[in-house]
Order: sequence, then C-alpha cells, then structure tokens
Amino acid sequence: MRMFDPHIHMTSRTTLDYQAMADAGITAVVEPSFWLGQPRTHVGTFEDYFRGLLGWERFRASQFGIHHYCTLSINPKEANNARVAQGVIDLLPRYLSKDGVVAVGEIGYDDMTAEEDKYFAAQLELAIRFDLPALVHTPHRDKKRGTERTLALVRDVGFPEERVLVDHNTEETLPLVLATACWAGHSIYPFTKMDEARMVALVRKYGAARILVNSAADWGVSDPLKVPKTVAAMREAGIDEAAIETIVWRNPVAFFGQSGKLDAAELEGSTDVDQRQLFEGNSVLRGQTPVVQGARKPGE
Amino acid sequence: MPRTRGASASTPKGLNAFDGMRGIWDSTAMTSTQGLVDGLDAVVTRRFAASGVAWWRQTLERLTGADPGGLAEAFTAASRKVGRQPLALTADERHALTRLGMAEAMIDRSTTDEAARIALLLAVAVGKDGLDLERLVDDVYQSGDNSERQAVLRALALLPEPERFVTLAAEACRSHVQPLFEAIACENPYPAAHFPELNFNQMVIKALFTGVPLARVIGLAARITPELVRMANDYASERTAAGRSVPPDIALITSAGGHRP
Ligand SMILES: [Zn+2]
Repeated sequence: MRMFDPHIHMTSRTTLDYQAMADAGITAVVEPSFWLGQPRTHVGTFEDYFRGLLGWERFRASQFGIHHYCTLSINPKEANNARVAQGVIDLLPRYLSKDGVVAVGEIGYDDMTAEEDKYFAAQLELAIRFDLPALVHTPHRDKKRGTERTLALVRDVGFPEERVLVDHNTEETLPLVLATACWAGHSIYPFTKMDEARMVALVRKYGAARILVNSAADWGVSDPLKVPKTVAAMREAGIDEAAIETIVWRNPVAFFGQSGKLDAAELEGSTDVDQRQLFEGNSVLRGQTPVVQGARKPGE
Repeated sequence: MPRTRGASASTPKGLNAFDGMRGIWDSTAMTSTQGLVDGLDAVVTRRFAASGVAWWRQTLERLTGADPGGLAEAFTAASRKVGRQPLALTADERHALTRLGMAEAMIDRSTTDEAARIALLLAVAVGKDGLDLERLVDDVYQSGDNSERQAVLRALALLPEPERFVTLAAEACRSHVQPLFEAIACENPYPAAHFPELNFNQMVIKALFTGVPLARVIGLAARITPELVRMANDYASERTAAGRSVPPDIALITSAGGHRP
C-alpha cells in the first residue's frame, strides 16, 4: 500500500531512513518547518533553512522515489524569540508561493503566551493571503486547553476550518477537533504523544474521516516508519483496507491538495529515481552504485 | 515577552532586605555582589592546582576592574583551568556561601567550573555604572556550550537587578536540552522569585512532563495558584486517558488548593 507521512522532519534524518521509508511503501512526505532543538539567533538561518527544504531536501527525497513537500512558518516556540520572530514573518511572503509549499506551518501554541497568539494569528492571515491551508501544532503541556484555544483562535480569525489540520492529537483532544470541520493529525511516537495501539482504538471509535497519522520523526527519539507500523497495527486489528487507505493516503492528499500544489497525477506515479543526478554539484551517494529506475505510471 | 528592564531600573536600590530564599542580598547591591565574588573566589582558589592560581587572580582582577574585556574567553577557559569536579564544600564554606544568599540545594550540586564561572559573571557586575550587563550575559549565554549556559542560568538570581533576565530564563525553560532546563528549573531560586505566573506554571508542568521530581523546584509551594492546580489536574487526566501512570508528586500541587496570585 502506498503511504503518505504528512509530518516528518527529514532534515534531521539520514538517507538510510529515506531508503527504509521507500521500501516500506512511503511515496510522499510533508516536512513542516520547525525548530532545531535550540533557538536560532539570526533570521538568516531561517532563510537558509527554508531554501534547504525547497532545494536540497526535496532533491534528496526524490533520489529515493519520495515526493517531498513542505510547510513554512515561524514555529510556536521561536515565536517567543524577539530576535527572529518578526523577521521570519517578513521573510515568509517571499517563500510561501513557491512550488512544493503546501501549507503554512507548523504554527500554533507552545507555552500559550501573548507572542504566540500574535504570530499564530498573523500566520493564519498569511495563509489566507497565499491561499494555503494551515498545519497547526498543539502544545505538549496543557494540551487540552491549548487545543481549545487553537480552535477558538481559528474561529476568531475567521479561517476556514476545513483548511486547518490540527496535529498531535490525543484521546482528549480528538473529539474537540472532530466537533469542528478541522482535520485531525496524530503523531505516533515511540514513547510520548500517541502509540499504534491507542491509534487503533481511536480509529475504531471515530472512524477514518478527517483523520491522519504521521511519524513526526525528527532529531528526537522517533521512528520514520511509524506510518507503515500503524498501518500494520490497524490491519491486524481488522480495520478495513479502505479505511486504512483513507487515513494514510486519501486524507493527506485531500487536505494538502487544497493548496493547489499537489499534482494528483504526479503523486500517483513515482519520481524518477536517478541517483546519478546532482544537486548543485552534490550527490546523495557516498561511493555506492547509483540506482536508476524509470518513473512508474499511475496504476502500474 | 517584553524585556523587563524599564520596570526594574525605576526601582530604587536598597528596598529589598536579604532574602535567602530568593538568593538576593540587597540594600547595597554592589557590596553584596562583591561579597559573593569574594566568597566564591575563596572556594574556587582552594580548588586550583598551584599552576592555575595566577591565571585566576589575574582574570578576576581584570574583570572586577573598569574594563570587563575578555569575559567570554575567560568564561570558556574556566573549566579547563579549574576542572569540573563536584565542589564538595566543607561545612564552613557551605555556611559562608549560604549566608551570602546562595541556595543550599544549588551549591550542593555545583562543580568547580560552575562556581568559577558564576564568580566571573558577578565580578563583571561589580560597581560598573553604565555597563550593559544584560547584553553581556546574553552574549555569554548564546555563544556558550551547554555547561557554560548552565553556569549562566545558575548565576541569574545572584546578579544585580535579576528581574531583567526573565526573557533569557524563560527561553532556557523551552530548551529540549534537559540539563539546561534543569539548570533553571531545579535547585534554582530564580523562577519562583521572578517568573510571571504563565512561565512559572509552564516550567512546573514541563518538570512533571520530563520526570523531574517537583521537590527540586525551589519555592514551588508559595507559587501554587488555582491555574497551576487546574493544569496539573488536566495533566493527570491526560495521562490517565492515555493509559499512563501519573507521577505521585503531582499531589504537591493538586492537594495544595492554590493561593491567589
Ligand atoms: Zn513537527
């Protein structure tokens, strides 16, 4: 089964991860811009990060047959960093209209400060201006309150709910999100957030509509194969194939397709894997024999 | 978060009496800072190998003088010069440092390089009108490695007009580097003394979240508010819904009721 990981930070992963993901059936990913584990101190490092997501990372993914899309933003944590926050907001218009940018995100709350309110709202406005959906992170701490506040802000700004993906849901937040028209993401992590068994229970209870799962893999303890592993768990629990495919393929395609930048025909086929190609003179290869495969046609 | 300098600059010095809990010794802020430098100097000097003492004397004198040049270099070098051993204070030394306003729990966990670095920051702060201490501290922090950053966080409560460092301290609370988070959240009187309610509550919930025993948060009892109780109860409910255990020391908050802020 082809799968879509709609939230994964590939910049912090290796080519071996890309290979394992491709082998497991992942053919498309969305990489939200986020923070690097410690606060940045210059706006310029954000600009190079955005350029890296649009350039090198996209190329790297393509070398393993994976379609790479991204979402751009000042993330909730660094919205509190007065050294960079406004500068990044000023930078975003230059990049949001680019090919491959399928949403504004991840935005939302971390500590739920006044600054986070301000930049969350400002970036929803940017999403309206650039006709993009929004990928919204929910806080790890005080999550239920954070989710309520997220949904309230979306309503206050007048942002169309069906263009919002509220991510990192739990048993307590999912019903809140499903009560709106927003979509609900679930990050399947080895130890925190959500695991495969709990996800199976949620799908049994709530079905597949507007539900997504992702690995949210990054530089922390995380696993880039959590989407295929969750598929296996759902299958084992007897959830039907159509529902599984809705969750790991149709829903992410439908949600991010609202950007107008997901070409369905292109997605159905695979990227041309030609590892002999270079990006600005650089190859992903380190002495290996390059793999060359022709593009699969849709339905093949 | 706005810098809080404006508010603190208009507060006349000398209004605060000694407050051991908060680690602030005021009334004559200059004298207390000098006192702390001397107290730490004595402790650190005794732990130097003979070869390093000359460097220490010279550095400390230069930084205490009019021109604080070379703080960042000295701050970095300190760990190589004095080593990274536990301070292992004698009873007399411990008594002297706590009398100067340092938190017992903090100095009991401190190391030689950390004590030396705190002394260097304090030395720079001694009697220099017009010095932009905020910028200097921020620069040492941002360019520091993890152990340098920890030392900065350990020093914040001891520096003059400590409330101006709230932004920096709150940023440290957002760190995923656990030792950095613990350097501000644990055995450190700074958050209870200076954090606004929102930042303090987020820090306490993060401590629960990352498995830090709440007993390590200095001044927690006095900062429990109805909002913090609500957050702790919600956290317990979220853990239960996820089929996970709830840390038993959460009762330190949930059974406390909460003072009005
Ligand atoms: Zn993320």
